[in-house]
Amino acid sequence: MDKIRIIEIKKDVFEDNDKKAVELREELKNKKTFLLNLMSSPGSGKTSMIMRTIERLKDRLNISVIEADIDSVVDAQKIATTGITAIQLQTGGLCHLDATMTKEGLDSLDMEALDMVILENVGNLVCPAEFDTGASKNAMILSVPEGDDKPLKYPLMFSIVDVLIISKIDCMPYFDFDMKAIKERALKLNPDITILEVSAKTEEGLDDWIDWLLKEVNSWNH
Amino acid sequence: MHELAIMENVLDIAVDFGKKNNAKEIVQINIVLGAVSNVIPKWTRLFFEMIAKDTIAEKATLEFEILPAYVKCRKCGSVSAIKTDPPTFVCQICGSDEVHLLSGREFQIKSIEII
Repeated sequence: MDKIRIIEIKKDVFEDNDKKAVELREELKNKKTFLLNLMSSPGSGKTSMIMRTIERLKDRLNISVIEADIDSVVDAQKIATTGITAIQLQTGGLCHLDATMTKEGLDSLDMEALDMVILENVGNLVCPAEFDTGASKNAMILSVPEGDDKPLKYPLMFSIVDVLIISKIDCMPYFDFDMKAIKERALKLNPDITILEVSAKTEEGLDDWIDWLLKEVNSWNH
Repeated sequence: MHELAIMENVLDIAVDFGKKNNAKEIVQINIVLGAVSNVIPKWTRLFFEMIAKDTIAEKATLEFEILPAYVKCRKCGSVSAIKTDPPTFVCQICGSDEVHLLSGREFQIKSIEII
């Protein structure tokens, strides 16, 4: 019988993606393009938030959107009604985006001419948290109807994002959503997290989000 | 949930190293897995079988070594290994839940055994 040889590898399975993400971040920095990775569950209002954000900022920034929702062009078509370029990545049922797929999306846009690209990640609070896309900043949306217990169920997502947008706050009267509890839970996982309360419908709190975003875009692009 | 994508990575790395070392066959892949890595060995084995067909790793066994998850407490400063079934992110010394995960999310291919 053949003799078994043991070959040492000691290679991290995420190493290749992490390396590509670092390279992509450097490229974005050099080209002065801010990339926002936006994550959430399906139905939390990502597309509506993106629409409001574009409406507020399209006269001040050159923006594009990369959509990654599973095999559909519905979101990209909705975004296109605002007059900005939205491209749809066909993820073929994948549960997340990685740095290679993100780079492919960016390469089909004119990065040099853009100030900001919003990446609408696949609606999922588990897998997207595991893969660095190469984005400048990571944001997540949690809507009031989803409940204040989500940091307990998806701790990794809350621990890796720079900003948490609590959306659909106009629904607060109809749900037992404990705003104080969710903030405490999120801050325990991530003491550096910024937490904003927003309604894309009434536009309450939208100014805070726009201010946060503009500040981050300016510091990245200068 | 994304075991399939990850296992494609594992297969690529293993086959790459196997070929470089003139392997006729990869009989075992030794993987180091953090206890809170969100990766479930049972599913990885199933997906691996699907994608490894017709490669030199077709018959490879996946062997998992589970590493404990350590947290550092922001209250008392202690480092302790948490209970992981189910994961409870609590300092084992003072009971505070203000902890920072130090390790436990690893997913590394340690070695392959080839003939």
